[in-house]
Amino acid sequence: MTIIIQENVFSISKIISELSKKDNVGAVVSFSGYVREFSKEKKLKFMEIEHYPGMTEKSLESIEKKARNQWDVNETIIVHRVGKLLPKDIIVGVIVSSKHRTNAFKACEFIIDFLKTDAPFWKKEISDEDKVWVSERQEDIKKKTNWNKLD
Amino acid sequence: MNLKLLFFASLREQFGFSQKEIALSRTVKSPEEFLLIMSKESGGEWINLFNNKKLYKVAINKDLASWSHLIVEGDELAIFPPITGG
Repeated sequence: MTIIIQENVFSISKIISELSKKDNVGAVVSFSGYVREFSKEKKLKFMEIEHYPGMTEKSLESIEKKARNQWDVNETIIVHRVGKLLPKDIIVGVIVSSKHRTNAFKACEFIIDFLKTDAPFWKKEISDEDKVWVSERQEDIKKKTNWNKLD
Repeated sequence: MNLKLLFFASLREQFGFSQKEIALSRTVKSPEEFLLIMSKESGGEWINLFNNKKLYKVAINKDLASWSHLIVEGDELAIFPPITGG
């Protein structure tokens, strides 16, 4: 398990390439999230992401452990950026390797779904008109609830 | 009773600080009771926060918790709006 919280841009393709070279890897599944240039029809100038140091890592470790308990995966890498991000910038990457694809698909989706609701990050969108803290999405809560139903 | 309090995002901006050591004149058993005491003793923004606490999340020692969860001397209490990362 690797958890990285950083301000700098990262290359998801480089991480995928490195993971694919490890022993016994039959599948690598990744999710990457990006800054959209428009939010509710307002043109974004930039985004600021704040987090709770210590709790962020603790919650991501716990999410990763839950995923690992359910699916047989080789490695997991979670990278999340904080600080100032520009439109089209990468925000987050979740990369999972496994012997067979289903385990990597499921674990990757599980990790990003729980990261969205349980890992303490907050986004603020800055446009020419205003500065707004992003609200939670009901869709994200629903996705997490659906996983809980499977337990 | 001494607690470490942290605010994040919109709450940090509203209250004007991100963390503070709080010395309470009495012992409280939960984050909810903590907010009640703060709203009675300090008023202002604390009253709003107490009344609207269901809109916010609380973590005790870096774990998500409920408003009625037990807190003890020296705990780290963090209050923040719903999480929006990813």
